[in-house]
Amino acid sequence: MRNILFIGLFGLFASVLVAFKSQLNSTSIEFIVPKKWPKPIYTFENNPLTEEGFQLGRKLFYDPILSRDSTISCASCHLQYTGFTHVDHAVSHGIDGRKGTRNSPVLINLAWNKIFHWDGGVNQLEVQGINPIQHAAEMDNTLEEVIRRLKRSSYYPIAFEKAFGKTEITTSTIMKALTQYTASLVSSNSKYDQVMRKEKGIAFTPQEKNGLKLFQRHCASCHTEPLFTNTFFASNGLKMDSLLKDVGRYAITQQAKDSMQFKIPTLRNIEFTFPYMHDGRYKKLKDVINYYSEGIDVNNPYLHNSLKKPLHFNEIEKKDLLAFLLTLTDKTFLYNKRFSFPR
Amino acid sequence: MKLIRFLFLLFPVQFFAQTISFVPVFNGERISLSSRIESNGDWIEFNDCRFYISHLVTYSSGKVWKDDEKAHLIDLEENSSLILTPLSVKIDSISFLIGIDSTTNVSGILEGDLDPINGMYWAWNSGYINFKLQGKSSKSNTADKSFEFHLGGYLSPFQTVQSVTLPVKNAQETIEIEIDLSRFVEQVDLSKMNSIMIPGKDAVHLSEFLPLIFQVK
Repeated sequence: MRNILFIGLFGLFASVLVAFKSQLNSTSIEFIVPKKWPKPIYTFENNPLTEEGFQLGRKLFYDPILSRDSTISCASCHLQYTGFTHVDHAVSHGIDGRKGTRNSPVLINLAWNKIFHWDGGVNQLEVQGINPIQHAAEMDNTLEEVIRRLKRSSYYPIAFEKAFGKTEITTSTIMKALTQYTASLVSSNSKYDQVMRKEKGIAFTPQEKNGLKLFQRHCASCHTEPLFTNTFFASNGLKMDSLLKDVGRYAITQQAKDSMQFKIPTLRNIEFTFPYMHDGRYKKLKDVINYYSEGIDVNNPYLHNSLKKPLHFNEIEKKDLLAFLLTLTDKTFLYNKRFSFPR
Repeated sequence: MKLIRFLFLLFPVQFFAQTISFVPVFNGERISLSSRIESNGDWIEFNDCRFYISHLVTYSSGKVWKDDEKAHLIDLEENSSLILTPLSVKIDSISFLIGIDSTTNVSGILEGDLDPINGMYWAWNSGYINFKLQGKSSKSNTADKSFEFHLGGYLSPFQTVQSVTLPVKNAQETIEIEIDLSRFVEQVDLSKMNSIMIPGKDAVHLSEFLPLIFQVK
């Protein structure tokens, strides 16, 4: 009896000590919300942001150990230099060259998003990472196998202990580490941002200025500043691909009103995130502008109300709009060494 | 569990152990989950029955005891018992949810019984599978005679979580809750419907029968 009590007290003492030690080991980081931006949805509430957690997440993001045959990592389809999407791939290929059915989304300002995927099937950032790991056309792996491999490695158990105060590796700590990295991918230093912050010596050209006006009048109700998405869903009237037969958000909600609706993507860094649309059907930004200008079938029953009146931009307006969209490029984000392959 | 036993040693008077066992039955007869049940030339067997129990509350002569655990994953083949420590001995009734509430469904990554590794979680359409029943039957219209029902979904209007209150007549140290799988199976024409793997109206329809299959012996 006394022994048990003693062991109990010792255990309690030891765990307090470990908790204290792990706190000493990890360095907390402040998540900085750009000025005048809305409050982020993801607040790190149950996943305090630390340097160790971020670095562990970054390591995992670039490590092919997550895929069944160790050939692809998250970064295979989410390349930093192109806004964390798979440049020049309409849809991406996972292991064994298996192809997915949707264009790889950018990973930009994820902390301001409530739901994820083109169909909004994922309801919180922390649980997103399970998808690519398990999906047969992506990494085709299991959580059990990932945990087994990470436990066997010489690097990870120590890194997990540093980040979370325990060597035990679980779905939870893997996903939380990945989230610390992906939620930190904030792009807020494009020319657009610098102009809005009234930074010295930075100004829109007349062309860009006119482009912004057109944008605010015709595009911003869905691609709302400063995130350049209102994070909702809509149909932009694209005809269903006859092979992919993608019904969009309907697949998740089973409700007719959601048919053919897809998540409204951010337009930040749009210069480099081609090809465009949920199935990557447009290679060039000017194709996208042409589509919205005169390509929409206004009789498409699913079409969002705001697009029912054809926009019919003239050639100058199209160029102005394009010029404005290029001001959303944020090279300090695309080339930020902190986000790149860990060396 | 170890902690509870340890607390028992420290404070023997304050806690009362109440075991709740979930027992599979078919037409009122106890079964072992994987055994084949035959009747009138048809047969059925189950190879997996797992479900979540959450928001468990016991009522004993006016006293209400609420379970601290977010949820318990019950596996009728293995972990089919819970040990609770309510503050009173005689339980009059017990209530719980079959499945996971909507708040928990949107709470990000969770641990223990709610770890997605347990196979009771949809990643592509985030949310928990509240109730999973798989097996084989002569009636099933599939090549290998299998059927599989993964019932879940928390988004309106296809919420599937169910609430149950069960009176307990003879409170004992172990309360046995029988789960009569025949009552579920008789709601389904296996020759027509043998698989539900997504939230939606079929999942809602079948989930509504779940409270009827639970009963305290």
